[in-house]
Amino acid sequence: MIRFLIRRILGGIFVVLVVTLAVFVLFGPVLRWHSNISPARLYAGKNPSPEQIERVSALLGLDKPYYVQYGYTLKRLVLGPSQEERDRVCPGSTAAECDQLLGRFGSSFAKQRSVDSLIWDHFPVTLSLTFLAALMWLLISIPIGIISAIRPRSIFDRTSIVFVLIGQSLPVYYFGLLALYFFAYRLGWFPLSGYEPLSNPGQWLYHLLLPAFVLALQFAAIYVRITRSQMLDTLSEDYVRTARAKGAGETRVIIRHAFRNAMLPIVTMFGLDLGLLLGGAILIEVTFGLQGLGWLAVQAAQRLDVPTTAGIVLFSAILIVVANIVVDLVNATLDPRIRLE
Amino acid sequence: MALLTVENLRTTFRTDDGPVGAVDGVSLSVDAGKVLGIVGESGCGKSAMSLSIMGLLPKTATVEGSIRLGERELIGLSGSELRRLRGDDMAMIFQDPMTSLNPVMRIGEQLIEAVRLHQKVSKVEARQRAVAGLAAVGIPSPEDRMRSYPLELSGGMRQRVMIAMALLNRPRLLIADEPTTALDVTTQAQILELMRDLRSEVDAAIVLITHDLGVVAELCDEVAVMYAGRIVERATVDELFAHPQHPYTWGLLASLPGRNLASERLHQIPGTPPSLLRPPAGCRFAPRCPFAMDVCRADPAPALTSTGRGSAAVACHLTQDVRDREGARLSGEEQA
Repeated sequence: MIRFLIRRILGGIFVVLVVTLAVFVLFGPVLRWHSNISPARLYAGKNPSPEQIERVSALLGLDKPYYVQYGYTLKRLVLGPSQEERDRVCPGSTAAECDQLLGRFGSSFAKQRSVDSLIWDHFPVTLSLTFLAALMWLLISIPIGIISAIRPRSIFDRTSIVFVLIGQSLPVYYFGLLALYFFAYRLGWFPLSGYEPLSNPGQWLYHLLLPAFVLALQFAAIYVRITRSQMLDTLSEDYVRTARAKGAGETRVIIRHAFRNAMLPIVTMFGLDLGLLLGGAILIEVTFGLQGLGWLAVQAAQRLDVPTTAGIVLFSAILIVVANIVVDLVNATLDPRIRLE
Repeated sequence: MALLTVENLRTTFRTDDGPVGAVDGVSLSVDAGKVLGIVGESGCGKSAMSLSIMGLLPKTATVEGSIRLGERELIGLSGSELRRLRGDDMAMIFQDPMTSLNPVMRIGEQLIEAVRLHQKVSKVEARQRAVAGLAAVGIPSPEDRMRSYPLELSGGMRQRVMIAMALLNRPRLLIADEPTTALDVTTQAQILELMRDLRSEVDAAIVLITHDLGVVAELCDEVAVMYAGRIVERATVDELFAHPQHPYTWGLLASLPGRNLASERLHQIPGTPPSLLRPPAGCRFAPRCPFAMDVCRADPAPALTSTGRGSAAVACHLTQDVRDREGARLSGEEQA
């Protein structure tokens, strides 16, 4: 088990390394070569003189060869900004002021702030949205999926298939706008946009309920389908018949014997979806004016804020890698076949 | 007194192509302490019959006729009444031990559940019974095995666990559906030996379903030979081997390996069992039977009638003389 964990963590670190390299190449040399965009020029403001650009280049360390820049990017990601960079970028300011400007993910071009602080400002919104939505879609989809599997081809099952089709085919921005129009604008049950921090739980829930529900419906559709098919498979297993032959009641057979096996692939999918969503649910966040990571990424991309965009990409990638490792761990706990192989 | 009495059992599956009569008018009975073997090819209705008795068939199946456990009629019982009997008064062992245990539950958890579903005992007490049950089926260090998952045990050990689980609540009826088929030959022998030992201890009526006449000879008191959903011959084991009466039984006996050491090829019955969707008229074995006459291919099918030797009965139009002669030829060969 410990060896399994170490192997997975080493693998994860390798993936993150590859991602940093890809991000660095894409947002550095490729951007410059393909679109002739120089970060120094972007940073230097409107219509800079060549001298200004050169000064900014030196300030940001962009005058050094790419391999030196990449080496430093990696080092900064792990250890934080070096004293040399601190002295270069924010000479004469206090450590706290400099921390606002410099971070592991670099500094934003658009704002005089570190990408780290931007991410940490916006991440709670995405985190809240994701967890509320995840809770909703599990509570909706798993019971529906199980009941559909117990009574295949019943009216309930057919209705749920229609629901799945609608949920999967309605684009989230369209459905989101419809929901906003009816429930927020016409009926006034929910606010039109915005987010309140968790320190005020009532307001927090009030602002998140509608976007989380729209997001949840889309995922619920997929989860109904996978729960139903997994349960159908599991219910025809020999050990389910054994459980019935022991005299176990239907509820016990379904929950303790069948679902306990059927949920293993659902857990896997759930973990990966969480990892993906935590990197920012762009469409929902933009539709509902929630300033989460997805919203921040759109803003940064529009303003050609290269470090922020790259930082969010890297941050999301790390989340997905972590989610993968967590999924493997949870699966190993739930399934002795993985743990004992 | 018969512990299990089945009368005119009909089990029909509803399918997209029409009803399939998997069991078609089967009657049999087993006394406490006795073992009844049910023999036949795959698809002859052996398993459908045992699942009918246990009430484990899917909702697409209808079961008619009469199944009595002691005095109690099982057909028509509600789901929860049947559930209380299953695993308590009647228990079942399945064919494939590799897939019959829940892979994500520890052995102990599955055994304790079996006890506590039917007995109001503490967890500790249930645990003790489970450990004792494992010990009784010859599982070494049962305390440790309680913590194992099924995948940590071999097929033979898993089948022992299944047997232990079936016997935990001292059932009056035990149905074993091909309990050794999925195991390798040496393990088969061990499981058969275990079942022979347990036979005398548990004092339950046992229905042993198999396609292997060798297993029947080892374990059973009586045999019913099934073909295409019907019983074609019924006798004590000794009687069946000494005076086999039905052409299908002759085919089965002739197919036993090791009989004809001189010839290298195994005997096989030509053809395949009929479709139960549209079974042939008359005797269902007639299309494959080397002795078939015109009367065999017309309704009504021959009924099970006594051969005059004890409880033995056969469903065949051949005259007693022909049957005795052909049967004697076959068992004569066996002795030679």
